[in-house]
Amino acid sequence: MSKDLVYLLLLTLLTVIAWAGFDFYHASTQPVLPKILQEQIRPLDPNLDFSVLE
Amino acid sequence: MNYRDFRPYLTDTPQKAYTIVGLTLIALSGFGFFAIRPTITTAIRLNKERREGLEANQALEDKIAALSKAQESLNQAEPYLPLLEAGLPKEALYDELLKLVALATGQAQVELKEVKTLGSSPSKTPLKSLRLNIILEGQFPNLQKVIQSLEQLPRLSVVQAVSLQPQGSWGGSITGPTNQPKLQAELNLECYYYEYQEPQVLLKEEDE
Repeated sequence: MSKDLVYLLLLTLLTVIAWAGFDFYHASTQPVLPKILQEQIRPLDPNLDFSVLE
Repeated sequence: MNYRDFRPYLTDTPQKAYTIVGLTLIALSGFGFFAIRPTITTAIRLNKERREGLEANQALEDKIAALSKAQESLNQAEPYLPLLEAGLPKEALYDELLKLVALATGQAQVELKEVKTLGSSPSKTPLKSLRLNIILEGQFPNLQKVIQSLEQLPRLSVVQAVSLQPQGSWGGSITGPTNQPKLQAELNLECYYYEYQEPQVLLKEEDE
């Protein structure tokens, strides 16, 4: 196996590492919950402003 | 190709080293791409899903509690709801408004000469307003009563501007027991309504 081929394989490994790194980043930043659920879990203020009614 | 051809790669010192390093790199690349990457990606995603699921669960529990509290608040506010419905209808309801205006003028014995709609004011919020230009004719105390009645309509309304003019020459046409001159009043009345649309979130979810 020639030295050039080892360099090529080394670059391949670096590419794989970079690919995996981007995949990990993508997996950690992409939202998992669907958008509908995100809207459903939006907090609700149960207090009515009675002073407006009076 | 004979397997003996590979012998130098495994025996000669520099070739052997390159071969070992090369095979190691191939193994690392292959293992990394096909085994480590998907495994760690899945682990990260599952962990995130678990964490977000717990947060969503907590948020939903909080929301259920808030809904119960909101139901109690709504029960307390129930006596006021018809007032709100009347004060801020969901549509412009021109005809109902005109009936109220006609009633107010009729009760005050004022002649309703003209009613013009000036359209709705543009608003990005659900709270919209429609503007009316009303011309009335009558004696001052009666006109005053009409203005007071319009300000106290069941619908949320505000008299924005009033201009009074003598009818004919000042004091020219004296009518009624109070001997007061007839006046022409021009009012700008602004009435409000609340154009509320139900959110479509739950329906979308059912569709999916």
